[in-house]
Formats: sequence, structure tokens, C-alpha cells
Amino acid sequence: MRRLLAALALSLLLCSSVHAACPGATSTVCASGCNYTSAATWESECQADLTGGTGTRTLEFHGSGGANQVTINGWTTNATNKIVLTVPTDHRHAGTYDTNKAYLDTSSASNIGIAILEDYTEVYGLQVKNTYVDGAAASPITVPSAITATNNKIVVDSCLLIADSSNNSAQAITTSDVDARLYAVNNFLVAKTSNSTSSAICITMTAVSASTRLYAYSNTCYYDDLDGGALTSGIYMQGAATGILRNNLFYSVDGTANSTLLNEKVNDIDYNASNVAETWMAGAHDHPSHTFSFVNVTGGTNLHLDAADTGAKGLGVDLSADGTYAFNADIDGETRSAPWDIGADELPAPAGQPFRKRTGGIPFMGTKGVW
Amino acid sequence: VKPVLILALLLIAVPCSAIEILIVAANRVNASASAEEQESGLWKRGDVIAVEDNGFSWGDREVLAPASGGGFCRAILSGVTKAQARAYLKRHLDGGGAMLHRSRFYIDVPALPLAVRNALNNTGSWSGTWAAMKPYVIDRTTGAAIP
Repeated sequence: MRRLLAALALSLLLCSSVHAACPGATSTVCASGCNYTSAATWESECQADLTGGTGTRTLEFHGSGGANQVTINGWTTNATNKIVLTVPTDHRHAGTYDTNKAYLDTSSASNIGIAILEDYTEVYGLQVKNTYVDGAAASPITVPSAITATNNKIVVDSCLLIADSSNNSAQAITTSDVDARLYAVNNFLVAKTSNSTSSAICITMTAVSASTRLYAYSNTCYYDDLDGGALTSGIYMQGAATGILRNNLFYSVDGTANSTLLNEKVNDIDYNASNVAETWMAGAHDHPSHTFSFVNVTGGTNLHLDAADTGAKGLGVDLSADGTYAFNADIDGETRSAPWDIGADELPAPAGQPFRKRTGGIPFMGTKGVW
Repeated sequence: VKPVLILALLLIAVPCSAIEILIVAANRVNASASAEEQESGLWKRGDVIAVEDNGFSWGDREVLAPASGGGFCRAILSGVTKAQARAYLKRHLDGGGAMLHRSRFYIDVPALPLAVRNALNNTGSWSGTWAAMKPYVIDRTTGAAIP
């Protein structure tokens, strides 16, 4: 009888509704030797109300983030108690896709890498690639319609995002919430489709409203629709939203004028550059029809600026004191030097000028990292 | 000769197609979430969350038994391939693509035999066959076990 009761008590443990014990404020994910082998299992075990004293939850990628789509949902967050997905300095990509560094590739399972449904979620320094083959657009990071706080903050900073579809659209970042406030900073964004009737777009914001915001600072955007897509664009904002674009470099492989930013309400644009004669690029310091030199532009393989570049070098604006999102480093974590280069990469300062290297011991969280 | 024969027998005994299914051990809780989000956004006990080959090197949190404070348990199953089992990793969506539950398929834990539940709870894993587990794999779209 005693044994039976003990067995029943044990079985009840498995049946109870208890909060799983998230291992702490910071957890790790990688293929072997971490807390989790999948970012999805971390997300499952750590779902919580972070505003009730739990505080910010951080997942550090030390290698692969697994093969499954990561959906951030079921949490409660606010501006100071948020969800952070980040990569420590020694596991970060160097601007080219490298599976020996931290990455997330869900191509075998889903068209989406990370789906963000919580108001305050930040992603730093991660490679996310999606080449899913099915009837849906490949999208490394997406923000579906689930935002509840109008002053929400979704940050994508210092990431390498690759959307590469053979039979559908490719969109590196997508949002479809009317309240979404996206801060895309210092990213290499690659959008490629080999389906001639599909679109290739670096940032897509649909279902927008007057409260939708896009802060796109210092991104390098490579988009290729094989010259025939229904839509190809660096940034697509459908309807009345506000976009603030600074220091973005747009490279259209087509090089044709149909590569347009559809900007019904994108209203604050300056210090951007494109290889196309974009009519929307009308800021006093915008640079349409420029020629860029990259380290290896083929397929968007290496979007670092070549030392010989003159199309983006020194043409940007200093955002280190920006009132919305101040930063002073590039995608590699290297300190920018005046005058800033346009795009995510800053060429090293000429000899004789100070060039500070990042020092160890302080986790690099992204563009706004401590030096 | 004898050790070689024993090794050969052991190799034959290990099912080639064995896989490990990672199962959510307990309902996730966030009392501050809306009723809708509690239903659709929070993982539920029995949800199938990952599928890997037998012997996969899981993270330390993924192998911690529920009785020791872990959030998952593993069913190690023979008679099914990883590709076949991964078909049960789908999300439960409505016709418009909105998420109804994190997982379309779940293991009906309360219906499992007591010995299986105890093994999952105490050791974090249970080894068996896909045929034995199938009657407990429920499809949320039908409310019934998979065929």
C-alpha cells in the first residue's frame, strides 16, 4: 500500500502545473555542452512574467541554436525587464556566414527563424539563415501581429540575416503588427529569391499604422530578385507609418529603378546610399546612384566595405549621440571614426588616427556595447 | 571470440532507427498573460518540442528529470525515423495561420501507464517502441490519437 501511494505521488509530479525552473538570468544554447541544444527549448522552460521580479532573461548563443523555429510568446515584458538573445564576443560572426560561430538555421523545419510576439525583445550579434522551400516567404526574423504595448521595442542589432528562397519571397526582417517599433541597427541584411515572380526585401513592414515605427540605422542591405520579381525593395513600408532611415547602404543586384522603397509615409530619410537612382532618396545627404566596393559582393557573401570604396566611405552621419538609439561601433564591434561610413561596416581609420580595439572581459551586447 | 560475439549481439539489439522525443513535462505558467495567450502561447504538459537521434547530446537542462526540477522528459523510441517523428513538431494553427497552441501534437501524459510516467518523472526518460507510444500521441485538430 505504501509503495502504491509513493508511486502515485511521483506520478502526480509529472502531472502538476508548475513553472519549470529556468536556470537563471542567463542561459546558453549550442550543439553540445550548454544548457540547451535549441533556443526553442530555452524559450519553453523560461516563459514567465519578467516584470514581477524575475528580471531580464538572456539566452547566449555559443553555437547552433537548433533546427526549430523559435517563437517568443507567452511572456510578460516591459522596457526594463525584457528578453535578450545575444552572442558573446568569442562566438560572434565576423560578417560572413560561418557555422563555426553562433547561428540559427531553421531551413529544414520552417520558413521562419525567430518569431517575436513579445513587446520588448532584443537580438544581438546572431547569424540567422533561412532557405526554407515551401509555399511561404523565407524570413529569418518576423514580428507577427501580437504586440500589445504601443511603446514596444524590438531590437535587431549587429546581426547577419540571410533570407534565400528558391520558390518564394525572401525577406530578412518582417513585421505585420500595426504597433511594431523596430530598431534595426548595424545589420548585414541579405534577401535573395530565385523565383522570378517573388519579392526580395531586406525589411518589410506591412499592416502598419500611425504608431508603427522603423528606426533603420547603419544597415547594409543586399537584395536580389533576379530581375523580374513582383517587388524588390530595400525597405518596404505599406501605408501610413513613420520610418527614420540613417546611414543605410542599399545594394540592388538588379541595379534597376524598379528597386524602390514604397514609402507612403516614410518621412525622415537622410545619409543613405544606393547603387540605384532612387527617387525617394531625397535627403540633403542621401547618395543615390553610387558605386560601392565590397570585399565579396557575389551572393552577398561578404558585405564589408573594401578599402578602395568611395561610395559609402565617410558619407554617413555620427549617431553616437542619437536621441533614439545612440551607438558608436560597427557590425564587427569596432569603434567608428569620423566621418562615419554608410552601412553596417566601418573601414578602419587611416594610419595615424586612433583606432580602439574591443577589450576582453566585458560581454559585447551589440552596437551599444561597452568598450 | 566471446567478447566479439557479445558486441555483435549488442549492436544488433540497438534499434537502428531509434530516436528521442523531447516532451514538455509540465504546463508553463504566466498568470499575467491574457487568457488567449495562456492557451496559445504557453507550452503545455505533453507537448512535443524536439526530436533527435538516439544518443543525442542534449543540454543539461533538457535531461534534468522532472523529479529533480527539470522541465522536460524524453521518450526513446524504436520503430520510427527522425524524419517521421519530426512531422509531429508542427504548431497548431487556425485556418488563417494564427497560433492556437504551441504544438499540434502532444503526449497524453495522464493516460500513460503508471510505470511509464514514473520512469519519465524519476529518470527523465523512458525507452519503448513507437507502436506503444502512438496511442498516446494526440492530434489537437481532431482530439484523437494519431492513426
